[in-house]
Amino acid sequence: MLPPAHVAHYGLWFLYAIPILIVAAAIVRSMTAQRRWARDHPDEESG
Amino acid sequence: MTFVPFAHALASRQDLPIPAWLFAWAASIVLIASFFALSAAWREPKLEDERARPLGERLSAVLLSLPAQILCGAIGVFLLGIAVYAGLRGTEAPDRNFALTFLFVTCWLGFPFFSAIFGDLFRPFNPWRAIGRAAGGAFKAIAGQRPAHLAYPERLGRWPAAVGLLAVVWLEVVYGASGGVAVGLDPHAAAVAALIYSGYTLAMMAVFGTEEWCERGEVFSVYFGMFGRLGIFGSRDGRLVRRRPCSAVTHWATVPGSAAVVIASIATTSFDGAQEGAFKDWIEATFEWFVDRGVGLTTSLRLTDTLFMLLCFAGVGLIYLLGVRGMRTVPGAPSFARLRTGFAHTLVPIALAYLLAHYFSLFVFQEQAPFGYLLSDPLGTGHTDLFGTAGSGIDFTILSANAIWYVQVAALVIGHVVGLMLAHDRALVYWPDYRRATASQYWMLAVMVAFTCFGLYLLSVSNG
Repeated sequence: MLPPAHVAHYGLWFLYAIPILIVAAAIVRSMTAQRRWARDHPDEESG
Repeated sequence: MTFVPFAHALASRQDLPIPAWLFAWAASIVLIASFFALSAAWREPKLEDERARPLGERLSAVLLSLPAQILCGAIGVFLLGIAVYAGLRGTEAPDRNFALTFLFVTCWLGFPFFSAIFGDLFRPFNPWRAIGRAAGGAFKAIAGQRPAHLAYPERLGRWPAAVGLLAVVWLEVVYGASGGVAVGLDPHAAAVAALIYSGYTLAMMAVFGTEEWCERGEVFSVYFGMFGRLGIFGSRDGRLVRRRPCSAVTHWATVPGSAAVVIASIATTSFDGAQEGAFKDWIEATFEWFVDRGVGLTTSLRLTDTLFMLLCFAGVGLIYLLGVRGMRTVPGAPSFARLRTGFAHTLVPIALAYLLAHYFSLFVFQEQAPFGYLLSDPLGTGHTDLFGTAGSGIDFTILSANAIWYVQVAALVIGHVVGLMLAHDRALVYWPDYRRATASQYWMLAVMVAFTCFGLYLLSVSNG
């Protein structure tokens, strides 16, 4: 069992995961948008 | 006799103005802002060219002279000898024996911290290098020629050092685990391990050559030297030089196995921080699983800890490789193997940040001992008082819990921003178009945010 003093921090792991999820979601969204743009504009350089 | 607890962080309770998790959010925002600032303002590589300015000729001549090298080497050999003697002949109480504090606090933590500022400080004091060089010199004087060595296998690279690094930390935190103490290792076992390691290292130096083994396989040379590449001083062509901070580290990871060394550093620090906190429940469940199957208590504990340490190694490696894999999706990317090697050095400041965040308070508290009671009673017998300081203790009020937390947060944020900077600089080498370089670094941003939040989570649980 965890010491009581640690429980509050231990159970809050998801609050530490939120920034990671936001960044990961932003990357996936950006990559998807970039691929869609490249598919719609096959003759242009996407940069 | 003053009782001196030997614990990770004994200080007053934290009283933070905002919840600890909000620091993780703030740190992530700092990283994201730094990422966009780098993208906007840093459009060509600046750190690849390891430019260095020579220091004064006289200063170089004195510090790099043969007498100075002999003196530094002799100091290293003498201190190693004292530590081994104290371990073999001194008290079994880890906190009262000079051996453990000297080996696992002064050296293991002190060299990375100070080398990261001043350059590789271990190299001149490396006792095994000093012995190897002396033996080589004696051989040449007697035989009239340099000793012949085998060619070091190129593919082996720094893998022996990576495995050795895991073994050293395993010895300290798994084999020596005794609950509630920072270094619970029996001093006698530490001394025997130091003697075995000395024999192994000298044998390898005899086979492959002193400098070759120090560069590739000698754990402490490779590990401390890695942090030394962040520092501002180095030597080149027999002369001391002052270089741009972080520029020397850009070429550190070209040797195979270098990524494994830095990943091992982050993983072992993470494991040490998590075993009493974030991973405690899982470790206990696995430990009970082994015990239920009839495995002895000590063996179960060591098996469980070993398993989790290896899982940490695999986890940290996986996060890094995911970042590298993400970069491969950007048009014009080099091969996966080239990216994996090419960005490994960006983890070095993170390894330092983890080390500083996890052990800063231990270092500040415990490093008072070699200048206090251990100075007067290095064997911890209680019968010696060489300088009248044997009764002194450790001042745990020197750092408040809040101060420790702020140092931890600052170390993690600065370490990861420097990691981002190094990654951005390297990306500009592989993708001269800064827009593509920036796109490739989305993935490293995710890696850095993940390491930062994970590190702060481990610390917040450990600090309680």
